[in-house]
Amino acid sequence: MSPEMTTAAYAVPRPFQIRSSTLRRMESGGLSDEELLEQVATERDSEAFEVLYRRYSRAIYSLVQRVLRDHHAADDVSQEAFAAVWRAARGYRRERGAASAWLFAIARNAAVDAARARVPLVVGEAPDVPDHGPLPEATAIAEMEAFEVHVAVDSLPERERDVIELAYYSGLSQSEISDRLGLPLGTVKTRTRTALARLAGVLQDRGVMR
Amino acid sequence: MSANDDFDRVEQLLRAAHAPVAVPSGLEAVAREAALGGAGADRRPDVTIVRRHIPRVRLARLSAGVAVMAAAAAAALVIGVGGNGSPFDAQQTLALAGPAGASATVDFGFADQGTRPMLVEVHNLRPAGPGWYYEMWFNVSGEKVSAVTFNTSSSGDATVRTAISAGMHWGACWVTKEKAGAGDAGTVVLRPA
Repeated sequence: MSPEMTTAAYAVPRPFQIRSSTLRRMESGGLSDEELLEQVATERDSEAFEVLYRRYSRAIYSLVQRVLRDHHAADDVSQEAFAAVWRAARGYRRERGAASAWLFAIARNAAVDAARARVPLVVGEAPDVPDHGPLPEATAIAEMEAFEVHVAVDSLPERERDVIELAYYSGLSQSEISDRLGLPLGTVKTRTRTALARLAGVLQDRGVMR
Repeated sequence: MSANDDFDRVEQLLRAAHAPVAVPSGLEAVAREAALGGAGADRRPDVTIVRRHIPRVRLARLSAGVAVMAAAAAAALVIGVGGNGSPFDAQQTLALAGPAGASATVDFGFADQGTRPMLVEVHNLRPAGPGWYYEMWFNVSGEKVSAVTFNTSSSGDATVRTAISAGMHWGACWVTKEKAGAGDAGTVVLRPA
């Protein structure tokens, strides 16, 4: 874990540093991410850690995979990221940003460190042409948005999450979802709108949407 | 901003994010173990990168004759063509590819007592030829680490079982063709597909 994690605002794109954290609570009236992280820090609470794992594992794994583009390396780096969460939880400061931003920074740092450690397979001269790819800031914002979206989707009730994933990740039409899930078309539409509204609220709270 | 605008923006974000990757079923246990250790004690977890866990054959230091013997011995690891013996319980699989249709899969098994079994199956890779052999490498913390050496049969196939350290964190995997006694400056023949 890099020392700056304990001394500076978390290295996330600026738009995400503005908003304070949302206190996302479990359906059972459980703790927010920030409270869980503080429990890990102060009480070394393994149950709190496991709840955090369940909330963030898919988003962190997807982020690492997006950076590394390597499934096996993503396993190890994700594992290291969670170990780093346990080690460095005491460095988390709520006033510096949301727990999700801190977790994003840890996972992204682990992935970028691993990517830098790779040995280039092909050695050659750098091409003398401009790079038209996205700027680093734009890439970081896209990664952060994807991370927050994945966390938000995972926070949905299962029946709403299923509809959203089939529609936006699998590309099914609402009729196809209706057939797939054996639900009336109207129910699919209602669940989709409810889920979109819930996601809008969560993403506004988390500073992804204005 | 209207509710419809919000929905449009959410839809845009969902599409841009793409589907999240499914977390491997075994990862939670591994992550928990890495972070919490046996009893959740407040200690630094044992997840440090272990360097050089894989025995490395420094062929450059060997005479040519001995090197050829080493390559031949490594070739003896080639178990057969088109699979062999006991089934392999893979946790993850990495695909490698090379020119002229050469390919390989690297199955990583479940860690057990400090080691992680590995099954390498190679196809359409021409035999290295007399005095030559193939070597699989991992990048571990910026350092090349040899995993195994092998050769292929006349049909271009090979099946190799070996093991790596369970704690090894590697960043890339590739296969080179090496000349016995010529060090480890071979050419890359298989890389991640």
